[in-house]
Amino acid sequence: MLIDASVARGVAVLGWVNQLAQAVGGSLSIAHGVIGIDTAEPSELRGIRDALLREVSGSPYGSGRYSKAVAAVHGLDGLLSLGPPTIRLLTPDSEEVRMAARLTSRAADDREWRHGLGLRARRLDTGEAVSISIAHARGIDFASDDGQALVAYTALTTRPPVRTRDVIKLLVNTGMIDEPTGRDGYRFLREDDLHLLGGPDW
Amino acid sequence: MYSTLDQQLDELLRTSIESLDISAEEYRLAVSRYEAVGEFLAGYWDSSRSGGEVYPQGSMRLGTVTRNIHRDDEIDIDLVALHDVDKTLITQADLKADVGHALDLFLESSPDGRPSKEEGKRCWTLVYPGFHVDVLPALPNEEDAGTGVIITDEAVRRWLPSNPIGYADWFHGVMRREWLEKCARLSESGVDVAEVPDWAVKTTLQRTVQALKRHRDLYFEDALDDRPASVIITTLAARAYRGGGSLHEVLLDVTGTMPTLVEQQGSVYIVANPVQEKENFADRWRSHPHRAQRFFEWIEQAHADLAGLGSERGIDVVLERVGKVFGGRAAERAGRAAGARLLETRRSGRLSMAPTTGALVTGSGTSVRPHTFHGDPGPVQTSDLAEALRRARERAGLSQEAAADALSINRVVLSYYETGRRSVPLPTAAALARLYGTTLDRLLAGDEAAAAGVDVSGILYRAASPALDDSARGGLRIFEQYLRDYVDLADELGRSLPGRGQSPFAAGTGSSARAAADAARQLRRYLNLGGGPLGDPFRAADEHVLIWRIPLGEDLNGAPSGLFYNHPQVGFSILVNSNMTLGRQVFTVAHEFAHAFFHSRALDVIVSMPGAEFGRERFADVFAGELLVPGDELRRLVTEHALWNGLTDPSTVVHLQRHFGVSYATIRVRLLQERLIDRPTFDKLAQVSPSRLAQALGYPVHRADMGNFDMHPLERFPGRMLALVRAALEQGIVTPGDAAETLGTSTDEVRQLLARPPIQPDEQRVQRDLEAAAFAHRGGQDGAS
Repeated sequence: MLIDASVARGVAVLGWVNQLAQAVGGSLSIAHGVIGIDTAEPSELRGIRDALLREVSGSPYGSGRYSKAVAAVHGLDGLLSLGPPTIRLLTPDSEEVRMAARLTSRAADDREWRHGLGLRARRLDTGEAVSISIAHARGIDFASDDGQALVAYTALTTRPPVRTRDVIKLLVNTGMIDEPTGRDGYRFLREDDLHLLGGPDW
Repeated sequence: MYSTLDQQLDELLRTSIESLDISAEEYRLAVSRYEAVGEFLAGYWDSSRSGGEVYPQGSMRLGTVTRNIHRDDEIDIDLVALHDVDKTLITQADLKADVGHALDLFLESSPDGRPSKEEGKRCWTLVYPGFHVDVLPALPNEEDAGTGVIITDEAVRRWLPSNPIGYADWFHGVMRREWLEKCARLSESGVDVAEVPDWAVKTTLQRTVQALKRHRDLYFEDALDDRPASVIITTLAARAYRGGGSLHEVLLDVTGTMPTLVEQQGSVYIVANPVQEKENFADRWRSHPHRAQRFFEWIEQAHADLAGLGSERGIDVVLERVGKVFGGRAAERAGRAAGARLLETRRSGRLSMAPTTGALVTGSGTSVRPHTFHGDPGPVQTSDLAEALRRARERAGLSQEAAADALSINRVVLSYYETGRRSVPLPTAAALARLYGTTLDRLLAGDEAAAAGVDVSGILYRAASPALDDSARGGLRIFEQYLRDYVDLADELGRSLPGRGQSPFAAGTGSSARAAADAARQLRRYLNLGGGPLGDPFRAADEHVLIWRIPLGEDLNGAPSGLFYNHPQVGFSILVNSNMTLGRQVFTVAHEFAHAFFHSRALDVIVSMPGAEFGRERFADVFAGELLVPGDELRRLVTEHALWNGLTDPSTVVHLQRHFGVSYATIRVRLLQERLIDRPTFDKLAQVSPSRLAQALGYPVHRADMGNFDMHPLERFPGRMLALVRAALEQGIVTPGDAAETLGTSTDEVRQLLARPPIQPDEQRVQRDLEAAAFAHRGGQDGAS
């Protein structure tokens, strides 16, 4: 399974990265740019981790928000330090790069093509675009919480969309966690004022 | 043997460049030759009851002697013949003739090697078999008490200043750390360092200079007169050299940086002597402007050739390219050395091939790419995107350092991306494309030209004086990108843009304090700001002015404190250098208001550089002081609180500072301007630490007081920009990821933006800014824009 930044963030904050990797056969895939080749390379997850660290700095010491932000940074650090087999970084080839560029392009004909796929937004961001391109070309399941990215993925592959909720349900169904824990975790991500995931009901 | 492809390439490069060295025997011979000349001239001067000395200069002194591919591979040695007499006692012609006469006597003494003598423009040349010695007549420079000299030149009448010893000391200082490290390593390996001559220990910088000189000689083989002088190459390379890194990395870095270090004043290019500012090594480009052009063409080619070496795989292919870059002999030498190592390793049974890179390695054959722990790095996106990124950056007028700084990425990593040595993550490629004014799809299509629209950064580059430094140029590129995003978002949302801004006020004229203060009061009335503290200065005129806060550089000698730009579509825009303390930022905003509301009828662009003394800038400074700290309010406070006798007390001044939300420096200046304190009090008040005092008085201390203020990414933007992003998100026109890319932040911050109440003056944030503004004193020079 290839996961985007929002799903990776969610499972990292909950501390369930290893369980999810196990549930999908041992390895979770993440596109290059969503995660870096090394911990120092700029990436979406690195940016999210830095944003959470700013929350730590900006929150009163010992407050609930401070504690949640610290825990989230800790979870992200755990994810960023993982390598194969748990986390496998995928780099796009030339064709995948070209498709990603079409999904992010400002050109009128590319925009029309995206409208044809059902996209309402003006374009996707580059991290979603490269993830979808790789998932599409290599026939990998793709998980995201970005509605427009899932529309594009489903239109291109006819595979069903997978969200953080579905990933947590997978953990429950494979016995990695029990259902109440899964429900609590999802509610936390969805409703907490630090995480604000939103998304559908359980 | 090598453990990585990088090491393999570095080893090939090192041995190639070593082949450009002269041999130890040739070196000793050269030294004995110039010592013979020196001893003879010393004796000659002694006999005339004056003194003098002869010492090497140039590449011999710098340790960058390189075999010349011309004149039958002769070796150049440059000597200074310093005659110790005052310049008032001898003419240029007499000095040159005197040294020439002495050299004639030297030749008559039948020295070893039996040299002949030739006359040059500035020097005499002794031609030996295999090498020649240039002897430069010189006198001590009385105006330079150190090691400076003055030299002759048949083309000019005045003495020319020079300082070969000072220059060599500067050059050695640049590479001193690496040189010491090399000596330490030799020592650790059991070598008696004291027995090793300096010339035998070569640093990466010296190797780089040798490599560039050789590349130059090959490149200009058919146009010798156009060759850039060695001193230009050496100076620029040393200035570009940052220490550390492999030889290939340093070569790439230096060749990428060198063009940006050539200064330009009008049509004159300047490569200043670092120890003799009056000396411009590129002086001859003035009379031969095409040579400057040829220099830039050459260094770009050198960079491309060296980058090409890094993208090749396989020893044979790399060696072939080495031959093209440094000549056949260098490639042959490197090939022999590589072959010898290969044979040795094969004999020892330790040879294997790395499956992912094809490099020949020792040990296990399953090594992975260096610095990669996620595995499966996949195919490297070679030339297309990498090359396009480099070309787009250069077209944008940015150095690698400026581009890397602007996006907070490591410069060396950017260099890897541009040479295809490392796959560039697509989000980073997209961010770079945006910084360069284009898009990812255009780059992939081979079109690096800027996207259509207003060339904002070009306009601002031209308006700034003096020339902006790298950080400022990167910041202006980001400013352009943000303005373009603002226009795009408004367009997507169907919002009309106001067009060029129109001030409701008559143009401010003159620089009198009274006119500027009147103008500030007019603006306060127009914005309904009352007569008290301004509140949040970054939001005070949100409906009329877009205020952006972007890093433009910490060195305010080369970076503006702020600027005003009347954009043809979005109107009044102000950019504040966010590298400054908050106190200075507050003052700069107020200063730029003066330009927007009182100078925009005449000018669309005003770049504020610190220390500018124009009447317009003085007007804006006085205006800012009155806008932030109205004189009437200041006097009222002082009167009402019976503080007349207390203004010598710094505590009182801190209370006033907190009331107005400005820096301590600004409040001091205003008290002086309003004649509420005299100059001695003003000076005395400067002797306290306002933050410590404020803390003692019970005011909260902001972390900016500790010099540790990181601005939140969303605070870079004007409220109207954030409102547009928010509206686009709510309408589904942009995704959170797209919004994050547009704002240069993460999806987490975008979620928080959506969770905020609709954009209003955010009291908490305002208070935080004011606290910081009140306390910020980092730099200790607040109060002037």
